[in-house]
Amino acid sequence: MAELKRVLTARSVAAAGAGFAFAMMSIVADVQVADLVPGNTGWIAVIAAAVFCILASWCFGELSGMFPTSAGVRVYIQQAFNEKMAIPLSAAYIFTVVAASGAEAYVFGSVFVALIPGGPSIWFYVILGFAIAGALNYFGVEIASGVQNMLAIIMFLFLVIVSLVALYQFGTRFENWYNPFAGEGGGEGFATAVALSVFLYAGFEWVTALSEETKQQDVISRGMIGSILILCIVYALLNAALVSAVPRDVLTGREAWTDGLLYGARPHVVFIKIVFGPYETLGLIGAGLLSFLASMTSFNAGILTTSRFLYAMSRDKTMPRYLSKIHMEYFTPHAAIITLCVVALVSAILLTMLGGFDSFTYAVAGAEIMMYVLAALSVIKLRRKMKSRERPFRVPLYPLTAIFSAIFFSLLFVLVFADQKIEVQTGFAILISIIAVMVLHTVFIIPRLKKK
Amino acid sequence: METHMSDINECLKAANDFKDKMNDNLKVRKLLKRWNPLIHFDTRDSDIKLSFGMSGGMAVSVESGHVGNAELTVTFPTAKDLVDMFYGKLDPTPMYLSGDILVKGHQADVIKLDAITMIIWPEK
Repeated sequence: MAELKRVLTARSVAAAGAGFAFAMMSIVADVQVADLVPGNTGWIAVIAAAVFCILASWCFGELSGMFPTSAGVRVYIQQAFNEKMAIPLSAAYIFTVVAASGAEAYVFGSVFVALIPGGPSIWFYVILGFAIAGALNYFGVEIASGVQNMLAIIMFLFLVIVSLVALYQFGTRFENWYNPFAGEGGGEGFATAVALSVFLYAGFEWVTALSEETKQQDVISRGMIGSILILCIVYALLNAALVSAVPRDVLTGREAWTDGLLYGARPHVVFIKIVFGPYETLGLIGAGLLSFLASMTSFNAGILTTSRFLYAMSRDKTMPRYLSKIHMEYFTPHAAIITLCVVALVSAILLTMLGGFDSFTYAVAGAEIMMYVLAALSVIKLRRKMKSRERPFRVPLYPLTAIFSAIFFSLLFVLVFADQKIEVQTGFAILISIIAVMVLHTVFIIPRLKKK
Repeated sequence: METHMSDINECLKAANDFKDKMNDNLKVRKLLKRWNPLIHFDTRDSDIKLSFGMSGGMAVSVESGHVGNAELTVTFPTAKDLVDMFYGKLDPTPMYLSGDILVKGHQADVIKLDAITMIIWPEK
C-alpha cells in the first residue's frame, strides 16, 4: 500500500501544541490566576482548567477526525451550523489571537528592556520580534519538527527545574496550599481563576490544523492531551513557585521590587533573580533565552497558521483578493503574512501607548472558551446530522461529556465577563468589537467580494 | 462502489489534459521549478486512483493506481468532481474549505497545489 513520505507523530504534535500555547503572556496570566485565589492555591485552578480542556480536546479530536483539514474550526462550524456563522466566528477567533500577539510582543519587549538596562527601547524589540517571525514565514523557512521538539523540551525542563528549586527554597512560606475557597468570595475567585487558566492552554487545539500531516487521526487526539498535560505540569508548578518566591504585589506590578523596578509585565524576570540569587546573571541569560524562544515559537506558529487561514478565506472570496497572493520564489502567502504582521504590530503599538496589555488575556480566554462551546455543540449537532460519517475518534461517554463541556464553558464565559474589573471589561470589549467587525464584514463585504 | 473502465479512462484523460495545461503555463513552471512531488488522487465513490508526478516545474507522469510514496494525497467526494477539477469546471477551494475534499500532506504543499489551479484558472 502506498504511504505518505512525511508524517507527524503524536510526540511531535504534543510538542507543537505545547509550543503554540507557550508564550510569555502565559506567565503573566499564571500570576493573574494566582492573584485571584487565597494562599498558594492557584495551582489547583490550573489543574482544574486542564481537566476541562481535556474534555474540549475530545470534542476537537472527534471533529478533526471527521474533517482532517487545516481549515479546522471554520469547517466544523460550517458543517454543524452554516457558513454565515462559521465565517465571522472563526475569523474573529483568528484575529483575536493575532491581536494578542501584540500583547505578547509588549511582554517580550519589556523583558529585554529589564534585562538590558540602558539598551534599546521597547519598540526595537517589538519590531525585531515581528521582523524575525515575519521573515521566517515570508521566506518559507521551516523550523524542523525535531528542532521544535528540542526547543519545547529545553523550555519546559528549564521552567520545571527552576520551579522545583524555588519550591524547595521558599515553599514553606504559605500555610494554605489546598483550600482555594478560603476567605471572602473565595468560590467566585476560584471560578474566575479556573476560567482565566484556560488562557494557559490557549492554542492546544491549533494542532487540528496539522491533521493533514498525520497518518492516523488518533495522533491528533493523543497529541492534544499530551500538550495539555505538559502545560499543566509546567504552569501548576510555576504558579506555586512564583507565589512562594516573590511577594504577590511585586509579581502583579502593584509594588516595585527592591531594585525600584515594576515587574508586572515580566514577573519571571524578578522570579529568576530571586531564585538564582548570587548566580543571577546566569539565570537572567536563561530567562532571556527562554523569553526569546517562547515568543518566537508563539509568533512563528501564530503567523504560520493564521496566514494560511487568511489565504484560504481569500481564495474562497470571503476576504479581499490580494490576500491570496503567493510569492513566486518562496511559495508563501506573502500578502497575508505582511498584513498579519502589520495588524499585530498596530496592536502592539496601541498597547505600548495605552497600556492595559493584561486585557488581552481575558479577550483570548473568552475567544478560546467560545470556541470550546462551539466545538461541543458541533459534536452534538453532527452526531445527528451526519450519523454515518466516519469518526476515527469518538468523544468518550457521549453525550454526557459533550453536553457537560458545552454547559460548563458557557457558564465559564459568563462568569469571566461578569467581573467588573477594568481589564476584564476591556478584554470583553476587544472580543466583542472583533466579532462585530467580522459580522459586519460577513453581511456587507463578503457579498460584494463574491460578486467580483 | 463500482468503477467502470470508462470512468478510469475519463479521469486519465482529464488528468493528462490538466498536465498539458500545467506544462504550457510558464508562470506555473517558474513557480514550481523546485517542487518535485508525487501526488496521489482518489475518490470516495469509486476505486479510481491516480498518481501524478512532477519534476523541475513540469508534470511528468500521470498513472492509474497509487504508485510509490506520495508527498500529498487528495481525496475527492466523487469521480465526477475529480474530472471536473482537472477540466477547470470545479473550483476546489470551497470544497476544501467545507471539508469535502480531504488532503493529506504538508501544509506548505497544499498551498502549492492550490496555487496551480489559481494560476491556470485565474477567474475561478
